[in-house]
Amino acid sequence: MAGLPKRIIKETERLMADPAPGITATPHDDNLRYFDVTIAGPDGSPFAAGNFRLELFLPEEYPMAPPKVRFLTKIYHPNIDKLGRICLDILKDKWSPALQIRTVLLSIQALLSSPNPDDPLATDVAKHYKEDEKDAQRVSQEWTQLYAK
Amino acid sequence: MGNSSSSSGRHNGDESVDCGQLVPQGVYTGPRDWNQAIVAQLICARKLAPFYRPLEDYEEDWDDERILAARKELPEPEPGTEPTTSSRLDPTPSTKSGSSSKRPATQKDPVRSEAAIYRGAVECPICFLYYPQNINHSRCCDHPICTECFVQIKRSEPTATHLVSEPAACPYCVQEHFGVVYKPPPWRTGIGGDGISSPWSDSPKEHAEPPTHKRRQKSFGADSPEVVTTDQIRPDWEAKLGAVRAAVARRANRRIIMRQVGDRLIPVGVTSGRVQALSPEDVEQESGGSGSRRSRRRQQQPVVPGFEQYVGMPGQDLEELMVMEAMRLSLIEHEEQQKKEAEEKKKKDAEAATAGARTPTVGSSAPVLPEIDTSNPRSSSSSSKRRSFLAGSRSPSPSSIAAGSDKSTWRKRLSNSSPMQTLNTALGGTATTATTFLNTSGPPTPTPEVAGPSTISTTESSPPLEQTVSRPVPTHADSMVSFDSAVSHSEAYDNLPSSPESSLAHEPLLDDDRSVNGDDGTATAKFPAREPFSDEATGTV
Repeated sequence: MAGLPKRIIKETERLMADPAPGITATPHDDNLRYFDVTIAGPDGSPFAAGNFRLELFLPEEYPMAPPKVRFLTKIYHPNIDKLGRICLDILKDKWSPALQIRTVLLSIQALLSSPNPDDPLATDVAKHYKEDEKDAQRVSQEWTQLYAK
Repeated sequence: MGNSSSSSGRHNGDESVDCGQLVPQGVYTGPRDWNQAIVAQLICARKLAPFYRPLEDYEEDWDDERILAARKELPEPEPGTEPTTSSRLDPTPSTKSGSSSKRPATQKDPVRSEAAIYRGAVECPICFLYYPQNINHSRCCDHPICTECFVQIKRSEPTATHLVSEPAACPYCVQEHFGVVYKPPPWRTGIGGDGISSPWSDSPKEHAEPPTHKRRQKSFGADSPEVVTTDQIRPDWEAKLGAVRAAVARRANRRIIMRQVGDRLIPVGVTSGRVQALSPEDVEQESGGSGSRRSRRRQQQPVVPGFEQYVGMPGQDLEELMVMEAMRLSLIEHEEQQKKEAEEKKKKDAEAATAGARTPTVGSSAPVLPEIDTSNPRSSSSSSKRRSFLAGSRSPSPSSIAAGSDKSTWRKRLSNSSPMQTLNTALGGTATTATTFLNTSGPPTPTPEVAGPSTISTTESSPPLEQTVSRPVPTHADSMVSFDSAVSHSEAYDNLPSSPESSLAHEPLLDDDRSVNGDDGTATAKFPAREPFSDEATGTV
């Protein structure tokens, strides 16, 4: 790999200097394209008070291709599957090179506040959310307490 | 390096436009898949900002030295020598690097000019680098974008599963048909320069020289003459789309070739489908009409042979796998029957009667038998996938046996049996592997009793080949090795795979399958999704 593009260096600097509230992203020393991420569960959501760990990788084509992001912490959410993969349009076909690590992580945080069971990735969770939202939220909360400390 | 004093942009005065270049300055390292001739032309016409060497940082109060020192290092072809000649000319072959005509009159000016053009530099929101104020702006929402980033933005590539190519959207406001407008500086140098004006000629105004970009009120339409769109610099997108569609259509036309053996149908190969492939005219119609027929056809010629790169690899893989899966299933069925027959044969062997007539080639397999015995300890999961490939490859042998054919007729069948080819490519695709493969699977020796008739499962298949693979071979490379080692045992069949008629017959398929990669994981995962399969299987006989 050639030297790290200036964009990645600057983004990292800005992330560290001015982190988004409730979000941290720290690059690995040995691979500056690989970030350890934490996102705080948004208040008012079943994920509140949870601290979710994620991994983020900037592929060679970044920023022309989206970063790859995955939850490492188990989470009960209709748009996040067992493997932690996230169903979010900007991580796929709606990616724009004008988006950044920061905006991606903020979008994921927003996804925790507003699950979208109509475009599910974890179909069983989505079904649960559609049939009995209260009960599904209770499970989400349980999982948050169980896994996202 | 050479960031110190001597200018870079000005030495090749004949290849620069307004102190910028016609070719990228190394911000991106990926393939340059846009039409560079068109881009250069647009830059010369001042419809697109030239490729300026960007600054990595910029502050308003920097002096000239500081600004020049902040310029991004040039990409690799930068030689270790002082850039005193035209040596730093860009590497693209299109540029004439010969004429090192310096401008004698401006020996001292370059430094000033270089620094001057960066006054009031603008950060490109995509690469985070700073460019002279005459930067492109999005036609729709008037955001800056450097030419380096602009040429990277393109339609999404069509794939076999997604046969459309949506126009690129603006990265800022997501409006479709992304395009930029460019307002050149009030002076001109380099190509098309007027020889009079330059960024440093009217020094009084130097500081205020680049008038700050006034926010535009209206947006430009994608088709307005000021706008350069992403499609304009990649005019081949329609041809690419057509090529992918044609490839898909051709695959849909593919038929499995069946051979009747007794009252059974044995799959022996797959047609290339190329015969029924869409003609260029069809493609033209499909990709929906604009552009002259002639130019389209001209574009297609070079595109089609290399279209594999536009075809989704998984799709390609998937199709081959599915074809082979069908053959494998059919074979298993056939094998069961063979085994029954063999069992009967055993009984009759005891009576030492007419068995030879029914299964004539079994005897020839004798030398291979000892190895085959080792095949019985089978590892279940790690190699099962590969094994199913292999099962498919054997198609010719059982059918030839059943028909009681000798080696030469078998070879003829081989020429129809493109799955062999498919298999080879699927497994790594080199000629050597192909040979090895055929060698291993070559001998018509399916002596079923050796494979352990008691264990008939889906991965179960007959001996010589199976044996080489069913050892625990977790990695691809390993399996190759084991094939190689197997060759020596079957040298007698060396001539089989390379027989001219077989390679000829395989030509078209080979073309198709060249791109198959080793990534069978995804493909097999999707395996059950195949539904049109039964249709094809009943296809040609």
